[in-house]
Amino acid sequence: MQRSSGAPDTIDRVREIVADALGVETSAIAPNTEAENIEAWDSVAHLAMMLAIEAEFGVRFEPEDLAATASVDALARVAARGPS
Amino acid sequence: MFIVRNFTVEPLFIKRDDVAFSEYDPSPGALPSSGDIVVWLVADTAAVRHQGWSERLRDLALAVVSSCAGRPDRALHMFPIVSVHPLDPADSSYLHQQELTNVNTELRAAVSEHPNMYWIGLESLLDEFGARAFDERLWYVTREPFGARFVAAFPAFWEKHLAACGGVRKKVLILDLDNTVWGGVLGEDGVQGIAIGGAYPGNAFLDVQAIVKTLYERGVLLSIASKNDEGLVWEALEERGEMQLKREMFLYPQIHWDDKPASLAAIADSLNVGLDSVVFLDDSPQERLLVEQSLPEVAVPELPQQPYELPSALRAIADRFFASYRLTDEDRVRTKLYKAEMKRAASKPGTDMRTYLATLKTHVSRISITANAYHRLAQLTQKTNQFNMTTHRLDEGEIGAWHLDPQREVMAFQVSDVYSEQGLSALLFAHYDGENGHIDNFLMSCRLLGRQIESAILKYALGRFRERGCTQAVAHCRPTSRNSRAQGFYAEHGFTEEAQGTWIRELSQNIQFTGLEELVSVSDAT
Repeated sequence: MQRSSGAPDTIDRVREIVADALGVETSAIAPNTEAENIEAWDSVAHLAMMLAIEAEFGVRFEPEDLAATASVDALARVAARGPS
Repeated sequence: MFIVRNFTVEPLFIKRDDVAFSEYDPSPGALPSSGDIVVWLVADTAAVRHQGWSERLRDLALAVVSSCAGRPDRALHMFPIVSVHPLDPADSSYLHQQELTNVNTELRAAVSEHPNMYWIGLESLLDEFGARAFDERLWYVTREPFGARFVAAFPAFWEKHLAACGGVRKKVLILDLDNTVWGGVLGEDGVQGIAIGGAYPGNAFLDVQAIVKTLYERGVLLSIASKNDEGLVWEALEERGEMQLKREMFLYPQIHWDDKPASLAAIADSLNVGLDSVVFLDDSPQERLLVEQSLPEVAVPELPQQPYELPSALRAIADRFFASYRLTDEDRVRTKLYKAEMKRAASKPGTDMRTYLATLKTHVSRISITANAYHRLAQLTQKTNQFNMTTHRLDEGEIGAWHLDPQREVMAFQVSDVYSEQGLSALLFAHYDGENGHIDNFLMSCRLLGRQIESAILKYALGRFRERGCTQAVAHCRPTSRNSRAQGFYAEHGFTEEAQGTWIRELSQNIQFTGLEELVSVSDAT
């Protein structure tokens, strides 16, 4: 099945992963939540999110993706690429 | 918990909010003054370009070891130094790798000398992932060397390690026989027909038996629940030289045609352990289901159908239920102690308690406590359930703090009689508050119950309170689902319940209970 970033299961799971890495409730994380608005979302938290998404969705973040995925939406788009 | 590291370790501990991290270039002088310490260092190609790289890593780790030595209040968990990708990319002699192995051997030996330190068997997790454990992309970009799946698997590994350090584990392994510890059905295939040793599947069962034997040597109690002809079973264990398991390793074996839940209950009862200390192995899903349904406290792990899958399943079971990082001398001889108990029970006369006690010549001696013993004391508070007044579990650090506080006292006792030496078997935690001597907890290995030992120890402790000028003893008790046999204890010994869980007794000149306790001698620490 082809995932799109809009698929509710993908975006919701990414919200959970982000919330987990930040140590907050999932309800505090929206699809449009961005790193720069949340103090706890630092490079280490971002790395933890990437690792969790890679393990769960079988995808791969390339070095270029690092800077380009500083929001829940952007992370979900990589998750939706599907296993590489 | 403070993590001394030289790489990006944070994602591995993201689920824990009780951790702090050192700088990437850690200094042993910058440790916090309290709390547990973790050391996790890696070596990489950049490091090995410098002369003396392995000594530097070793010295850093050893400096942390010495700063935590003799500190029972804090644990040190040491990871092996990991090489993050081939250290010798252009050199097939693997000299760097060898150097690292030597350093790890040295660190492991250093850690094993301290009761508050634990070596972490990371190899098992690394082996599981093989080359996929590492991810060069992540290493070069973020200085985090491990792959995403390894990172995802790590928290469970870490929790298991911490749980094993706490000393909480199962005590008894009960085995089915046919198609569990040998191939085939003894009653049908005969002593020479069952598969053990030799070619497949006997070689797989040989490894299964070797793993079980290792558990036995580490102090796990073994028993049997098998639908079989008992005589034939002993014949098979004796006649087939390949058998790793021997008759004398098993306590209270139940070999007959009655149902297995009854057998398991009988074994647990004879050993005086709770069913929640029992792990049951059986290849038959029907038998497992029956036990799961009738005795939900018993751990009944799944077993694979194919014999070649059994050894790795057994290793995982050993890890999950019987992992313990430090063996006590008592662990090693535990089955012998129970064997002595079986003899003692056999010689127990029906009615005349006085003659029985006089024959046993039980002697209780208080032992002096050193820091090296904290681990054993903590283990006893963890595993004692039935005769444990409050089931308050203590770790090594708490034991140490109690022992060193002049207003508090830990009394530790070992027990011997004409049949055996029992080793450390009972603990009494006290504190002093003016005229009152408090028994905060009293616990004893339950296999010693019924021999007046607990009464003799109580009498000793009350005498000790009097020596310290107390006029009243205050004992604390907290009922749990498992210590019901401890609940009547203080009432039977002349205490009255002043408030829920608080029992008091005046300290008179002569303390006497039933008089039978005088047949057990108690001596002070030497």
